[in-house]
Amino acid sequence: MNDNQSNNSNANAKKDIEQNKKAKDSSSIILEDEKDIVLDHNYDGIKELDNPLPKWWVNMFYLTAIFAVVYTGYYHFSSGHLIEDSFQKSMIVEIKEDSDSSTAMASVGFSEEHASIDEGASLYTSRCAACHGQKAEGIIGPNLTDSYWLNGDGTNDSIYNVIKVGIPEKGMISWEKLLNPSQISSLVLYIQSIKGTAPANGKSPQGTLFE
Amino acid sequence: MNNQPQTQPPKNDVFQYDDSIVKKFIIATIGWGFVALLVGVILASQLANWTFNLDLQWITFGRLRPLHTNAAIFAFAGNAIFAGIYHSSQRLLKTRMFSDVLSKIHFWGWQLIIVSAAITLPLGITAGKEYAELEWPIDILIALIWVIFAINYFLTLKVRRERHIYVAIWFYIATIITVAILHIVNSLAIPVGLFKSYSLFSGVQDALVQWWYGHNAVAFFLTTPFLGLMYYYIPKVIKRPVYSYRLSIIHFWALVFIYIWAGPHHLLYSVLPEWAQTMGVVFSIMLLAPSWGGMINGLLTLRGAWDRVRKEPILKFFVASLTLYGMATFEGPLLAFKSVNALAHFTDWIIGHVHSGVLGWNGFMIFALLYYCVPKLWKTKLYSDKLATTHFWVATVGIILYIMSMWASGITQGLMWLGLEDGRLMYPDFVETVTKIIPLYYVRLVGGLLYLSGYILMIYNLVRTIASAPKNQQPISYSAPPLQKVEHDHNTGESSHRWLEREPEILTILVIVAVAVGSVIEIMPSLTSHKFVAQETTKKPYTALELAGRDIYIREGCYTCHSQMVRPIKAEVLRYGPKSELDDSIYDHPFQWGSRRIGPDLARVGGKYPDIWHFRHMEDPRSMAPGSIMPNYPWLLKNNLDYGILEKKLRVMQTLGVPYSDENAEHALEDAKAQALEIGKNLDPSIDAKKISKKEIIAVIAYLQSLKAQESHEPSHGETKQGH
Repeated sequence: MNDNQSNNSNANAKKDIEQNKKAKDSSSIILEDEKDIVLDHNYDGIKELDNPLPKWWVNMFYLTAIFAVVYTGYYHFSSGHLIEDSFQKSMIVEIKEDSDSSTAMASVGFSEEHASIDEGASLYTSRCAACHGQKAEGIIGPNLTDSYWLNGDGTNDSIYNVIKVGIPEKGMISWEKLLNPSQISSLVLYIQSIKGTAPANGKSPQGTLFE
Repeated sequence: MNNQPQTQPPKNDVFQYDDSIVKKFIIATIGWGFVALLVGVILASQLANWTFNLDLQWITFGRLRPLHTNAAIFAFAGNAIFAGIYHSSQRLLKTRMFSDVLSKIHFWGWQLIIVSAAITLPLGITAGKEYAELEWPIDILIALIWVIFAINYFLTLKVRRERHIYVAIWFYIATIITVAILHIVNSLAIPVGLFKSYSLFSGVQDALVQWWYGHNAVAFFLTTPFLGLMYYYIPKVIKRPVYSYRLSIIHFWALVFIYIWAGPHHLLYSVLPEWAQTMGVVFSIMLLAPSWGGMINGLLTLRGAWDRVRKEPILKFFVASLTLYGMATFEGPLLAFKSVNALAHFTDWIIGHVHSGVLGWNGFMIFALLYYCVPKLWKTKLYSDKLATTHFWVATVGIILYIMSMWASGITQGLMWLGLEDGRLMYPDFVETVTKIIPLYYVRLVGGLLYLSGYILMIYNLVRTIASAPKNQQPISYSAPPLQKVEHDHNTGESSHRWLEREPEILTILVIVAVAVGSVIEIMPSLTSHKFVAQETTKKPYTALELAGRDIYIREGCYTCHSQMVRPIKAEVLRYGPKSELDDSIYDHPFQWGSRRIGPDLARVGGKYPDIWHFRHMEDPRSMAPGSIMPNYPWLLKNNLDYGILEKKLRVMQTLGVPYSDENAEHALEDAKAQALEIGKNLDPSIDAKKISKKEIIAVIAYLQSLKAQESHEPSHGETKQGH
């Protein structure tokens, strides 16, 4: 149906066809050992060989299918392997750990034993400075260098507790899960150490004065 | 035309192929490929150094990333596929395309789609679903143009002069059929306006449909058509017979049948029912052999011609393309294992994986096609083989740098996110896991730049080639006898598949059946289950203001960096909060679970920080989170929120089944304004509450603060701010 242009120069066309044929004859290089398995297919000069499926490939296919059945069986037809089950299990382990060792430590609260001001200082920069300012001058959160406290009374145990449970209604998160007890204690030490530094642009005092 | 008496030998038809359409698609491929790669390099630079976002909303990462993916897939690969299909099909079927007009409509329609995408995506006009971001008017245009392409193609099959259809054509048919189905189902949405719509599905249903689409866009847009191209161009270029006809049959049908099931491997550890997740895993693993079937059939076709690979750049591209295809299709099943996925999901490993596919398998196949077709179609010689070889090596080094850096960065992220010590997170600070991989982002940028440089060499080479083409070329005529009608006779010893190869209509129907089986079995149970829609939940819908904020979240492409899916994994629960539940996203049209964590998960961000924290953080993320690579969003503080459209939005949500009362909809405007003022007052005494409450930032804060775990026992919460 799109042949309208081709009628005009038939001679020309024939020449082209001839050339085309020549090109086609040489178009497929068949190796000696392939002569018997060349199929009688010819698509624009493309031939196909009748090679069998590679054995290793077929075996791989079967293996993956068998694996699929085993995998499904493992998760769905034997108990305790579903994502939800293993998740619950991992959470139970955590509670146990806590009740054994680390909560024993945590329940003591502030302890100078493993704490250091240096660790506290670097923790402060990465965790606290965003809200309380690089120099603890107060931004979103209050100024931590003065003697006024919104929550608690500024003692070691009180600051420890605020960090641990947070003040969620004011936007301060609980750090209990993110920091271990000695890290919290280090922070307490650091915060106590900067008392009275009166940084520039300090937020004006909030809360109650505790000397 | 087939009514001639059988005894008479048929007179040959003389005909010409429509190569001008192929040339058009080739030029479009070259141009759009450059755009896709350039945008990719810009994005890579933005991740390495956030200041390259330039504080401009139109080129900020979240808006540009969809442009990159859409351009790479639909513009670069898309135009190349069409060029190859039009070029090879006419020759394989010994006929000109059925209609030049339909071909032209296809070409210009497709370019119009791409241009609309390039305009709308940077403007933030997006449906918010990955690789399907284009809004509904463009979606309709895509469907129309695709159908025109399909009609033209099937009518061409009708007028063919070759009785049997070659394996390349089977792959083209599978592409045409399946892409149409995927696109139409996944794009179903109800418009709110010309540039905004809400997905018909929500939450887990939307996720399932989206990844059924997303994964099979990879399957039927980036795999099947390219296998078709491979089956034509590799034997053509090296002039060798295809290694195994039988292998091509088996791997074709296996691939088409199995691929469609694999989508849920994108949703492992999500709230998708686990049986569907497991199906996604096992079918991904069973995909290995069918995928490798294509690779080995291609590589073994090179038998006896390997010495030529050393000399001919085109063959180099073929071999590297197939090798990277083999690598990516091995990596895919590996990543689909639940245990591997727990580590790799949301990380850069996935980014590396897709790029080995697109830059390697698709890109190199396209380069081979271009280096072969351009001299052929313009009837001249390639300007420089040497330049093409240089292109190959530069691009290969680029890909290696890209993939290696993303492996390293992905595994680093995965390990740092999941690392526990004494039951606590080893790296509780998310920013720490970001700053750690910045050097690798620079390596990736270098990889991308190399790949782009190679591409520029190719453009130069091809432009010089085309310039050297002889003028006034006569179109070549071909001749072939018309098809004779044959009686459907099974007794000739013909195999049943051989019979099928001369019945393209039946082959098409079988393809539809093959892709329908997996789709129906895997998706229908979830689509028809009441558990996944609003009826049985106690969750309250978003307030009007929160919904407005959510739409801004979608507009800015936040999902390109932030997930909203806390997986049931201890480290995630410690880091983010209670694991995600079905109800959390039940009103989310579309869902926003995301697929990447360049930033932290946000499903539980509500209430974690005060409003003022979010305010300052959106204005300048580094003021609140030093080291963050998130762009600044200053325009959210300047743009006024469109309060007027809120009622309409709630009404559309109502039609979608979200339980808003008529009263909610009528009062949407006042409610939103009241809530906004409340947030404004909450910010800081130095900020004028009334003034700021008109701005978009307030809606975003409202939305982010609403992202939290459902209270499990909820009787007396009438006074919460979500109180509708």
